[in-house]
Amino acid sequence: MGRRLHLRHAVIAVGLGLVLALGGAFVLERRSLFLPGTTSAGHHLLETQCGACHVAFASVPNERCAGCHKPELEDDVHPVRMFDDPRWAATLEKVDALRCVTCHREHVVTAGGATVDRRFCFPCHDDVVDKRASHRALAPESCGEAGCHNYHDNTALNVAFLKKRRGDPELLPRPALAEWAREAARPPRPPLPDHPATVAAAASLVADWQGSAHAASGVSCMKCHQGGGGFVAKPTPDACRTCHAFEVTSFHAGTHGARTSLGLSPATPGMARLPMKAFRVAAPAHSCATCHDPHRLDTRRAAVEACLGCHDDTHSRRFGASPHATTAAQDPEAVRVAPGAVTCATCHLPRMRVQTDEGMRVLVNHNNSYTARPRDRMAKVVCTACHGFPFALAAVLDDGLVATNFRGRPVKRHDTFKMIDALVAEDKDDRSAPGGVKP
Amino acid sequence: MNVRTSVAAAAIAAALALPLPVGAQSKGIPPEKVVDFIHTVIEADRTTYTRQVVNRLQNDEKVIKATEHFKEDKTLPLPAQMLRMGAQLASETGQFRYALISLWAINKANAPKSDFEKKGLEAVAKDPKKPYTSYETAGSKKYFMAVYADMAVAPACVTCHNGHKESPRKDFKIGDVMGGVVIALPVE
Repeated sequence: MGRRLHLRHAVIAVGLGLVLALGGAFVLERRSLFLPGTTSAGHHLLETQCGACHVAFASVPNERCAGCHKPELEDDVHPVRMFDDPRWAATLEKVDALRCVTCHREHVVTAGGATVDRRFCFPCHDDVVDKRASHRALAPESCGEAGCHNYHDNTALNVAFLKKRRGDPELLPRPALAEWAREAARPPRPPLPDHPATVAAAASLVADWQGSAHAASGVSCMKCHQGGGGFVAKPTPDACRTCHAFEVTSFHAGTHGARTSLGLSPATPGMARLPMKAFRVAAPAHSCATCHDPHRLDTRRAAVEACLGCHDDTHSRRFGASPHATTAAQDPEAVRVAPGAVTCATCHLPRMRVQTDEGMRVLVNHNNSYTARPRDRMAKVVCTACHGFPFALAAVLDDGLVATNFRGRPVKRHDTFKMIDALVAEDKDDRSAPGGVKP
Repeated sequence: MNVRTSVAAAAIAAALALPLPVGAQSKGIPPEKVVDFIHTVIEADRTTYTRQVVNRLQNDEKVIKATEHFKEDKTLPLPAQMLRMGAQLASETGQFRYALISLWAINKANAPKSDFEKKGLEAVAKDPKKPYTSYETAGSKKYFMAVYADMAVAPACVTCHNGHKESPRKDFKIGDVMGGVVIALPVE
């Protein structure tokens, strides 16, 4: 009797201890204790905030994924909406195409982020072997290999684009990076500083501001420093958002800004899995001002120096000696990157034509993850402004070249172009219309 | 107690009951009529786009083409894509679904996927005036489904399908049934 009582007490004590420990870990933000495995790159920044993805007692809903990944799915060729239709009910029993987590399980690290059986294309696309002689000898799990097909975004890997660009030279005769719209003529006199007299503004800050594009376009001190209770010394990204909505929103969708968008403390270099400069590991949190001096608005610094201030991997360290860097060398006093210069930001925070309320505008996409994966997206969105697509695709898919920051040239064209060549040859044999419509 | 329980249960059931689609209500508009309304609008818009946009600008005036990769090519969407984009947008309301299907689809995704669709397409190919309808279950939900004939209304329809390398049929003439519009209306 006595022993049983002891045992019971022991069990209760252990149970209570566990509850307290686990509860404490949960409340005190030590939630890594609950992680069932290694979280994938990028998501590891959010892994202690279970609620960023999980809903209590339910599977991760698609909306949670779309919170950050929506911009990448703008041209999704397999949108969930397409399959949420009774026509597809029988197919969905084979492949549940309605939920992101069917293919993207988390807390497991895999190449490309997909955990699904690589042959999953076949329940629907088995006719490819009849339609394309070039595909007959291929393994069914090879569809998604780099440079072949993406399940979601095929804006680069589609027949129309590849046919058009398959014969491109390495370097296009007229490079055409998206450039800023010409700045509006400066007003005759920039506005006067309008900070309250009680605030002592350093003369150098005021001077920087007076020479900046902000002053030139009439953005005075209080346009940014205004808060509920008057002057705010350090405005948050929300102040920037007033005018730079796309820039701030896109920043929040990438790994630099995802934590902030979920209400977590901003990302620091110490949280990264990529090598960062040791002395920067405890550096201040990532916000707009980390890269952009808000008074000087030096976008030239933001495009290279700011990145290299933290990033310390081989690719970053070799930028200075890369062929691209020679295009970026320029007047050290300039606050703008020279037209045609290729910087870190050119590829990783690309200028893009964006639809805004005022029509199409060239803006900087601050989602640093957007062109990082799939790599063919970078090849199309960025590289093809100056390079032929076959050269660009081969280069971005070559890990060795990426590591040396493109010193040298890719060895061969991707096999994708062999298939496109074959398709074009078939079209010539066939008298009927090749793609599109013949009136 | 029993009475109270059943009253409470009835109240909860009433509160939870989702509004039925018009067609499913006993005194409402019959489902045959509802799908007729939907189809009338789809067909009118589809015919207008095909004749007044694609056929006029591509085949008659020869100023712009309609191609599958219209964003890449900076061209017009194909009429079939136009219908599908609209269908996806409409489906966001969660009320009903519609799609363009054919026994001679160029893209396998638009070939009949069920006995109902196959029979429906065969029926409207024989008698284009009458929709083929039936109550069907798909993925444990019940639907009133209808297939309406989709006809070649302009030269653009037949030149494209007869000229496309992957088209399984290349002898279409204007006025032929080329496929069908399938509408699925959820019912209780």
